[in-house]
Amino acid sequence: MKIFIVFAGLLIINMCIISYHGDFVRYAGIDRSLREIARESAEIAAGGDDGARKFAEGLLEYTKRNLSGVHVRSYECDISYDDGFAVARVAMDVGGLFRFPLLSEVRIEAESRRQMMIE
Amino acid sequence: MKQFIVLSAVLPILMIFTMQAVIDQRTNHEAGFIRDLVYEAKEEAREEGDFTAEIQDRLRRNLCRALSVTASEISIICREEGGLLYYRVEAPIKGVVAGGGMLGIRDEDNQYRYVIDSYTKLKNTALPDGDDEI
Repeated sequence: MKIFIVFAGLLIINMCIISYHGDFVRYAGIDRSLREIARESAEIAAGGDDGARKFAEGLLEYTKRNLSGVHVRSYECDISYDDGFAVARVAMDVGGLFRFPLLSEVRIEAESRRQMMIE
Repeated sequence: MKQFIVLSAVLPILMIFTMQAVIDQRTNHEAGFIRDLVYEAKEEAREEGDFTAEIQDRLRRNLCRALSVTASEISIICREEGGLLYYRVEAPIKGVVAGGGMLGIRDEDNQYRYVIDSYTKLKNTALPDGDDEI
């Protein structure tokens, strides 16, 4: 019985680690998508194109539509200009990403800055 | 003896978790390869103005070499949509679950398709006006 209890304990701990790792891989995937969106948007803004914000919003909406198994509560994007740099910030509030109750709601943010090509 | 018998039953089950951690590292490494290769191809396509056949061929070849898969298993879809370049690249990552044979998972089921699906803006083109949605 003692051996069985130890085995059951190890099994449960290992299963928790595996499921957390699986959830984290999904988190990392969304994080990478947001970083890519921020980078593209900052590049567009740095080129002097006014459509950077619309581009970022469109890509965020597209990403939201393609995400399955999670609830995207909201997303935000902001394009600003700071001392000769175009700065793109995007953020997404995601629910149900992690199966641990403490991490059920997470906010993923990404920022990118590019030097302005047109002064 | 009793404990040895229990250990020989329990050890393979617990070994799966350790092996899974190793396989996850390899899977992430392969996913990183795909992302890097697609990023490189996308930047080239932005410069060229299109995902030319040459860029697609090179991407397919590099993916085949990196992932040890055949060209027919890789799917590349790309088109221009009003100043934006849409691209979708799918490639298989095989052997994602450790101990697949022991768990009764067939080789053709023990894989998933890694998909990169996005838009990029072509160089030297203005973004579309109006209410066009991505």
